[in-house]
Amino acid sequence: MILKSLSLLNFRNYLHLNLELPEGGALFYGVNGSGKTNLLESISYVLLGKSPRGAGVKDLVSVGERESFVKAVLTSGEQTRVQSIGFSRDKQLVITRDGETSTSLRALYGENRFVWFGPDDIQLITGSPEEKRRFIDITLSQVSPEYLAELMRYKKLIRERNALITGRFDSVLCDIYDHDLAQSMAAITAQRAHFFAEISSSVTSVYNQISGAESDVVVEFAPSLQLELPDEFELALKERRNRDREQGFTSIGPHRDSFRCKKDGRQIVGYGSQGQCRSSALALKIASTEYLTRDNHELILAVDDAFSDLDRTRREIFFDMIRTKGQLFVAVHSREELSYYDLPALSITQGKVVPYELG
Amino acid sequence: MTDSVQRLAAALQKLPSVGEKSAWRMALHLLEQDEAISYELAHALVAAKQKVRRCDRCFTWSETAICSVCSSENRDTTTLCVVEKPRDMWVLEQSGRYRGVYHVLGGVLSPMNGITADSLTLEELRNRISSEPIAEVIIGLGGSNEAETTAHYISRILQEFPITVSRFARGLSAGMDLEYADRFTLDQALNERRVITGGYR
Ligand SMILES: Nc1ncnc2c1ncn2[C@@H]1O[C@H](COP(=O)(O)OP(=O)(O)O)[C@@H](O)[C@H]1O
Ligand SMILES: [Mg+2]
Ligand SMILES: [Zn+2]
Repeated sequence: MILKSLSLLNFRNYLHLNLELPEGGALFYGVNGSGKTNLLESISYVLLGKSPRGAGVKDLVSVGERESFVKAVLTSGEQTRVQSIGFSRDKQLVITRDGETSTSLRALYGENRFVWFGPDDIQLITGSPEEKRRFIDITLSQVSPEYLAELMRYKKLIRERNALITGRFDSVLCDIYDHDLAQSMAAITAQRAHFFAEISSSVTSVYNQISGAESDVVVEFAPSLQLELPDEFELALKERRNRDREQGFTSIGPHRDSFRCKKDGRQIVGYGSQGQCRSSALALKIASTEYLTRDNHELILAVDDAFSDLDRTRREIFFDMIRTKGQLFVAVHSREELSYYDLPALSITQGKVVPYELG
Repeated sequence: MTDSVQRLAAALQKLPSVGEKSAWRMALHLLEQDEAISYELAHALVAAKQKVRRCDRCFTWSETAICSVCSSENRDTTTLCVVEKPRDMWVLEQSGRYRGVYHVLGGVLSPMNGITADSLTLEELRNRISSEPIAEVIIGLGGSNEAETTAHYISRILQEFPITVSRFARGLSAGMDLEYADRFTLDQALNERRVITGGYR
């Protein structure tokens, strides 16, 4: 679906905003600190319930206010959907989707496809496994709500098992957790492996388009456990049990998965240049857009300072690559940049948005 | 506001689903009413707290050592239904279909919330099965993850007994609390219960 309009109440520096959005997307133009990133962040929040900067609700609610509200009207063909997220400093959360309310973020998932490009994308190459998993999970959760449900179940089971092995131990209960965890581990690992199998060739080809050369850049899934069957996972957990009890946490499983980008058989991080790290991160992101749209869902893209360290030619290559992928919103802070991108511009000044007038 | 009203409102706010606003509304309302109403409320509260205790056998709320269900002559004492809390037992009682006896667990297993096997009445359950003529245990827990885990746990620890262990049917959808099940769903859960381990006495 694509965004038709967006309403914000007490979100960051937007106390009150109603904004109609062009079908193809828009450029958000304004000086530093005007609220471009905030506006893109609100889109991410109403679609996925997540801040791409990892901000918590306390940061999102406008200073001096208690509650925030973001509402989106989305369309796809004849279909219209109204989706909103309301939240307060004391962590209350209400989601509505076409009038139905829920308190679980899961209610947001299903039809929307969203991707964020930002300066932090390089963390996909140089960052921690946790940051890498966040990318996998946010992508897979959009395509498969079952994946998201399984992941939430899994995380809860891990917390229960960790509490059990550090507290009063009960082997009957641990057997049950290990059995249930094993089912979950097998399902999550299989979905992740499938994801990497699906995107790997397009990571290579996008990278080559960017660099303008033939290279053998590949992305490789690095699971904590290279197993397939639930029974195998269960056995692995049992074998680790004593060590886990000594260490006080569950040391194996999808919560420790990662992935690596390699060039000439060597990891790009540490071996490649900064530019190669940037390019492979972008290649991963662009490959993920193909995965997100493979079931013919429309994509919404937000680009926040993701290309500002690239030269003009590279920027144009990127813009060409993502321009046709869906509804595109780009934060732009120089007038010069406005001319790079062929999209209508909206001018942002301290919580107000108006059509940009040349002159 | 006076200290006493403040104290009353603060006390009321400790009740479930009472926020600050409603607590104040209740406190001010009570002040405006006849004194008799406040006395009645206060007495009822204290009396309930003093008289009501756990049934020695099934651990539901009772005013006597053994509750009315456990001491009834008309119950099928060979069938025992394990429930999480007294509320669940009352819901099943209201449906009027169940003729067996009960056992109130006092929670569901969740180590991260500090609820382990020894904080539930599981040892007491085993003792009852050893000493009472129970032939079937029906696990009447809801559909949450914790309830599922607890159901598995119970079936595991009851394996040593020559009894049938069954579970409520899937009529109770995943995540559902017994408290909120309607009568039809409860009937179905009970009638279509499935056997986990067979056994006979
Ligand atoms: N919770 C908040 N309440 C009010 N203003 C906020 C809040 N969080 C951030 N801001 C303001 O938002 C502005 C930054 O907006 P941002 O979108 O990051 O700017 P940019 O246009 O450079 O991307 C700053 O002026 C900051 O003070
Ligand atoms: Mg910014
Ligand atoms: Zn009793």
